[in-house]
Amino acid sequence: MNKRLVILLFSLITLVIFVGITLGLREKTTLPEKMLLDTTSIFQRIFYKPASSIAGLFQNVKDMYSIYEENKVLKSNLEKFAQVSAELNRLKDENQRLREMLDAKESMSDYKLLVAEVIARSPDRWNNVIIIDKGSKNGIKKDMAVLSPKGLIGSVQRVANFSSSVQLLTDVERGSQISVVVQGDQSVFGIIEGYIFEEGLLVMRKVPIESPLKPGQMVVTSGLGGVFPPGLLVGEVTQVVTGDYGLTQMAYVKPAADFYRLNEVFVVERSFVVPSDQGVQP
Amino acid sequence: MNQIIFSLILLVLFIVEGTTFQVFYADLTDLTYVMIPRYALTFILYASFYIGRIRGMWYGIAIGFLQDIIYGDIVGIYTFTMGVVAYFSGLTFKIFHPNVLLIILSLGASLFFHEGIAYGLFYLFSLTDVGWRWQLSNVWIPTVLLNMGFGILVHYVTQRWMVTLDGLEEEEKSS
Repeated sequence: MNKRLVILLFSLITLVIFVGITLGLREKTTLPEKMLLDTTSIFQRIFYKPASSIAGLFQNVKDMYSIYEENKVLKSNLEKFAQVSAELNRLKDENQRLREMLDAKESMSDYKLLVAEVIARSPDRWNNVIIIDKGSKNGIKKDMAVLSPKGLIGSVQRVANFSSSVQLLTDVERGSQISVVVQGDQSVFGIIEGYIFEEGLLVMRKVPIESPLKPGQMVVTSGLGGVFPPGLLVGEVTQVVTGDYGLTQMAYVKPAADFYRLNEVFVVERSFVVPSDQGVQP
Repeated sequence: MNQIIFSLILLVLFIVEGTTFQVFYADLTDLTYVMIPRYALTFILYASFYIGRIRGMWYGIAIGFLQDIIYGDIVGIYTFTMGVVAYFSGLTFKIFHPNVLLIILSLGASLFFHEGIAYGLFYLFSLTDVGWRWQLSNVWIPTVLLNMGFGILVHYVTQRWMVTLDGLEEEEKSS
């Protein structure tokens, strides 16, 4: 009986040591880890493809009910679209012209998108990780931003040869924080550094108290810190409250991306990626 | 031979947890309740009644370790919880006689215990700040129900096979 107690105690100590060692973000993905990730990804691929196609069928049936309503809304949006795209072209020209005047050749927002498919995701909700079918052989590096068609979903956490894992925004307090800017008459800078699980909202802190901030404004990445390129859509402000000690404001941001329906994602390939430890500094 | 088949089934269940279920889940529910599929663990717990607690514990440690490496960046939490829970659920077999109802009930209790200590550890190392009330009503209970359903299914499919699995006698003798 005593022996068992000793074993239990010993294993508890081992647990604490192991967790302690691996608690800080591990920088390098080791070779055995890579091999394990790659091998499982082969099987995950086999299972995910048929499942997602069958699930797509369900989704199609569901969609048919809402198509009529959606169509009406889309038509009215289309009228606005022509105007917006004209505006966009004008701004692009202007941007180009101004850039030439400044003699800046490379834009911060130059990036290429790499399409990847999701092949698995973590079953629990504490590790919000998805696994995609592209790895270092396809040019993926640690800390690259990952988008869904609707908006930013996270960044690359670990890279194996043919697969890599992506940490979702819902884990934001454990990874790097994200420097964002709220669009409006006057740009407001802030930092996304938390996620409220119960309500599915991101928390933006450290906004100066006098900054104009109201619900409905769009939140995009600012590009400061160099981890994410500027202008990637994060979400929409839903509520503004006074922050800690009443010196700053705090805003809740509803993410634009749907973290639960992810089939295809885009990895943002940048020519320069700054390591996360020198990344965003508030 | 039986052991190889058993390990293969475990690996397939582990893969299925991360792939198929997540796809259907998003399409079929409104996502207020979170069900975490723990098929591999449920199968281990169930098998642990029959093949003995020590071997159950080793299977639990193996699957937990896989889970830690592939989906998380902290090694040790699931390795520990799955091992411990498999060990203790094997222990209940000594108290209960193998009655269907009692097996399913103690399966449920073990699953509940597992979610509890997993949440506790994640909370302890401040990797989550979800409140336990919300966790209990929206995650623990749905998760336990889902996996108990799976446990019942497994019970009817594999019961005969489990009894013939070698190792039960050895375990009884050695302890």
